[in-house]
Amino acid sequence: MNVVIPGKPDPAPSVSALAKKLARKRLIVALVLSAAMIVIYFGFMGLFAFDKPLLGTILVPGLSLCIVLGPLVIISSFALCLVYVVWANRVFDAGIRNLR
Amino acid sequence: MGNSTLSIGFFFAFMALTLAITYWAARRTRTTEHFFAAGGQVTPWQNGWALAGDFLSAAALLGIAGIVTSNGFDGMIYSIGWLVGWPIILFLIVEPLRNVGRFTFADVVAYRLRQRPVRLAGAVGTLAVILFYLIAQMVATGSLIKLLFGLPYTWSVVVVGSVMLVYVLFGGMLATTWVQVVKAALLMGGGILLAFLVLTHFDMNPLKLFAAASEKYGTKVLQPGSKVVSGQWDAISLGLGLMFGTAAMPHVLMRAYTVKDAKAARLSILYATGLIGVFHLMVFIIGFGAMVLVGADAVAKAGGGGNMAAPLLALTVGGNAFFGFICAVAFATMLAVVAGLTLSGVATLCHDVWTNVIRNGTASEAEQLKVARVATVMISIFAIFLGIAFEGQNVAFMAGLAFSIACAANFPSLVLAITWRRFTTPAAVASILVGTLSSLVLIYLSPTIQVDILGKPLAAIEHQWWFVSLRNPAIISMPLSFAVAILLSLVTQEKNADLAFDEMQRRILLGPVQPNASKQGEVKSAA
Repeated sequence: MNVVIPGKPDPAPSVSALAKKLARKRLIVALVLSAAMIVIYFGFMGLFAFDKPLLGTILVPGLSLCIVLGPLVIISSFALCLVYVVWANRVFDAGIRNLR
Repeated sequence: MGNSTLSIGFFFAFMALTLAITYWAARRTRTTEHFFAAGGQVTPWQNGWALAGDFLSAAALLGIAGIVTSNGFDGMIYSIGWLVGWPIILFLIVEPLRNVGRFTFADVVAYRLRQRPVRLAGAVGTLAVILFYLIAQMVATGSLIKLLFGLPYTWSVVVVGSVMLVYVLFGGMLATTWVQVVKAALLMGGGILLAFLVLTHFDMNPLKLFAAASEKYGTKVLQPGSKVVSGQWDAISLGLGLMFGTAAMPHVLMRAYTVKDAKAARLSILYATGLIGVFHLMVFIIGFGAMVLVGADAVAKAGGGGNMAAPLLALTVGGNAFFGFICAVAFATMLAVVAGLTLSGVATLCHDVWTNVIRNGTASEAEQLKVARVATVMISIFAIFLGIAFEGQNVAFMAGLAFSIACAANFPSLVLAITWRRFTTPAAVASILVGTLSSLVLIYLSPTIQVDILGKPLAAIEHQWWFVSLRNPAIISMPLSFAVAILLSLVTQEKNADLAFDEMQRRILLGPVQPNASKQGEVKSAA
């Protein structure tokens, strides 16, 4: 824990405090994105396991709900990865450079 | 069956290229850093392709296409499951892995714990995964090559085992990486071309393809069925195993070490996810294409459990030359996957078991390289032997078992070691062992072994007290492994592990301490 002494100005917070803050931020981003992936995937698998008729709804000839949602799960996996990498390259890496 | 001289020609071209790469790589492989991690010199883009090459086995092209051809939509359950683990690797695992470890995932688990017990347990988990996956691949390879090229089964296994031995033994990670890159490029190219040729028959509109399929075989092919995955909880359990098993596959994780730093590792996972995703979308088109243009019956009649769907489709839409090309690509695919698996097994035997357990971390470079090469020969011979021993056996469950063990044995300990201060040595060891053993026991008591392999009638064992109706153990074994880890961590105390936690977190963030605080990006010349 970082001890803050009242009255004394603290112009440069210690490196370890900054590092902890950055690590925490990364963990939150990583957990939120992982949770999103898990919800998307097990939402889909839940439908597959427990509500096949719904997933099998034919929308137009040649297209059923599962053929829309399946590729969407694949695309959203990539999209979530992209979100993380853009965030990490812009925000996280900049934070790391500040620490060094 | 088609024109096998052409496919053999394509295959020899692939062999000549990859052996030339191996020769080139062998001259650059002088240290363990080179042998196991290609000196950290692989670029993210190359590594992304190599990851795709490592991960896309023959099952991804031939197997899933075959399932789609005979069952329609359900094949996609596997495609999706094999992809959704990648974001998990990216978010939770790859950067800590790269920054803390050196060659294996046990480096990270053992970082603040007692080295010997954790590494030994880690080796048990890793080797179990590799062993089952390797047997599944070898047996599939042998029977597919027999089908594609007419080469006798034993010879097929011996050829694949020997060529893989040459790649790994002489070229180490550098050669293996390039073999994966070449193979992935061929696989992607072949897959995209095949899907494109299919779509030219349907005005480039996948919906017309699906409509044609449902006209021919009924709308059920566009709807989820229960033949591929039976049972509601089994589907969820399969999903768990595929997602978190992928996130803890040793040969995939090992690739985090081949690049310069955590940022490069992060990028390579992004590229791999994109490549694998695109490939799986193509395979879906290919499967439906084979269903409509070749016919599900014709594919079933060709043998190999539906595996001939993609090659036969190539024959239909592209003629003999394309058939030969796809067969050669399938061969190259199997070869590359077993090479990657073998290398990660060698890393575990040499780096974890020999260097850190037997020699207590004091082995010299020369000695480690020697051990690595002996281990390579041992694993290759073992793989060839097991491949031959299991001829004709139904080993399809072994690949699933490999993912289940990875998910239950490796994933919990890895995540807890990275994120939880209280995690202790007994917890890590018990979690890995319980994950491995419970997966094995559960699958043994399930219909997969009892009915499919041992041939007992389901009715006779259904009401036994020990019977497990789930074919996929992950939904039990993974929570069990987590529970054991958390419980044991709470009742044991490990001062050193606690003290080292902050240091490990710093290292996860900033990477290994650089000598003289040298500027990042400066790679020590390794040539």
